[in-house]
Amino acid sequence: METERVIDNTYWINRGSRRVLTTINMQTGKSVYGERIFKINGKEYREWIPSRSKLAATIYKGFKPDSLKEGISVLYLGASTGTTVSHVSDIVGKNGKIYAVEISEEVGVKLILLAETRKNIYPIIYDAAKLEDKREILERCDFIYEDVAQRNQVEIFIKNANLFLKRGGYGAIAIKAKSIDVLAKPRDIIEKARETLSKRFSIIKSIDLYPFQKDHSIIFVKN
Amino acid sequence: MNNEDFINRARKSVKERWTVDTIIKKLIEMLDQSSKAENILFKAVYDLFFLYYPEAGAKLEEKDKFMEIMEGFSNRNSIKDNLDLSEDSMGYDLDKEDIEIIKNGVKEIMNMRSFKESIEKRINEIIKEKYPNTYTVLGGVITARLISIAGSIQKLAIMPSSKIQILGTENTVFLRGKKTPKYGVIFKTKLVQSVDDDLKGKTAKIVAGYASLAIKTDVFSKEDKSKDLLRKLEEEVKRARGNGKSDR
Repeated sequence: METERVIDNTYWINRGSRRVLTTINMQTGKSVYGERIFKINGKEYREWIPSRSKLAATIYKGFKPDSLKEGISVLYLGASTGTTVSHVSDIVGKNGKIYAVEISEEVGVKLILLAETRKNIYPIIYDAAKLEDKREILERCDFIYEDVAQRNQVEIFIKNANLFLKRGGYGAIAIKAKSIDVLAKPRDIIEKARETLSKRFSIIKSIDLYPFQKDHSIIFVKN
Repeated sequence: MNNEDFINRARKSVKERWTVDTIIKKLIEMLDQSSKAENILFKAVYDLFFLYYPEAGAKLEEKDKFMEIMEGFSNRNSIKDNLDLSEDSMGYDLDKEDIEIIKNGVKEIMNMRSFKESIEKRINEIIKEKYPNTYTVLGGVITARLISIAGSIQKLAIMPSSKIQILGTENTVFLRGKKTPKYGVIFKTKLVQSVDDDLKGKTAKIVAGYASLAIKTDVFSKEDKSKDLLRKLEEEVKRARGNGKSDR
C-alpha cells in the first residue's frame, strides 16, 4: 500500500483502485469510534470517513486545508462526540492544542472521555455563542473551526473570531443550509453567508460537500 | 491551564447540568419505546398463534383481550370454552416446541407490561414530589411528556398557555389548508377526555391555562396550591359545559 501526503499527519492510502483518507494515529493501537486502522511500515493510520466528518469530506472534494498544521492551536466549536476532533488532534500532534467546545452534556461526556486519553484536547462544556464568559481560560488560536448547526451560526463564528482568532489566523465554518432556513434554496443561503463573511474576512474557498453530506457547505476564511 | 484542569472543569459542569428533568425525559422515552416493543412483540406472537388457531385469532385481534385469554393457554383445548369454539380447527397443527414459543412470547409481553407500569409509577412519583401543582392538574405522564417536548420545566414556565395547549402537535401546526390544532398531549388528561367532542377544544384551553399557572407556581413560588387550583379548574370546566351547546 502506498501513502501520499495531504497535509501534516494526513495521508491518502492507495488500496487498489480506491484511496482512503487517513491520519496518523497518535495513540497507537486505539480506534476512537470504530474506524479501521491500517499499519504501514511501522506507522498506524486511522481511517477518516467523509460521511461522518465534514472536514474529511472537504479533503475528499479536493481541497487541501493546509492552514491546519502540526503544532497550532485550534478552537473547535460544536465538537459533538469528538469524531472529527480526534482527527484534528492527530493533525496538530502533541505540541498542538484543541479547545473543543460542546453545549450538550450528553454528547459532551464522550468528548471528555476522549480528552482523557488525548492530552492535546481541552474540553469545554459550554454554549459556543457565549464563549466570552470563558475568556480567562481561552487564548487566541491559529484556527477556528465551527460546526454548530444553529440558525445564527455565521454570527457566532464572527463573534468568536473577533474574540479568539489571531491576526492572520484561519477559520472554517461548516454551514448546514437546512438549519438556517428550511424553505430557502441552499445555494442562496450559502451565498448570503459568504457575503456576510466577506465583510469581515477574506474568503479562501467555499466547498459544497455533496455527495458526502447533503445541503452542507464549508467555507474557509483568513483573518 | 493544562488539559487536566479543563477536563476537571468539564466533568464538573456536566455533573452539575443533570437535573431531575433529564431523568423524566429518559423515563418517558423508555415508556414510549417499551410500548412500541410490546406492540411489535404482540404482533409477532399473534401471527404465530393465528397460524395455529385462526378461529380464535379472529376473535382475539385486540391486544387486551388476547392477553386475557392467553393467560391460561397451553393448547386449543385450553381456550376453546372461553371463546365458544370447537377444537376442530383449520389451523396448522404446531408442535409442542412451537406452542412453547407462543407461551413464552405471552409471558414476555406480560413482563413488558409490568415493566411499563413500574416506569409509569416512577414517573408519577417523581412528578408528584417535584411538581405537585402540575401533577394535580395534568397527572404525571402528561406533565412528563410536556417537559420532554419543551426541554425543561423552566422552558415550560415561560411558555404562553396557548403553546402548552398545542405542545405535541409540532408536525401539524403549519399544515396548509388545515386549522390550527386545538390540543396536543393535553388531550389525554382526564378532564378533556370527560367532556363531549364539541367542548374538547374549549376544555383543552382551560386546562392549558391552569396547567401554565400550576407550572409557574411549581417553578417560581414552589408552594402547594394544588387543591385550590383543581377546584377552580373543575368549576370553570363545569361552567363551560353549562354554556356549551350540549344539554348535559
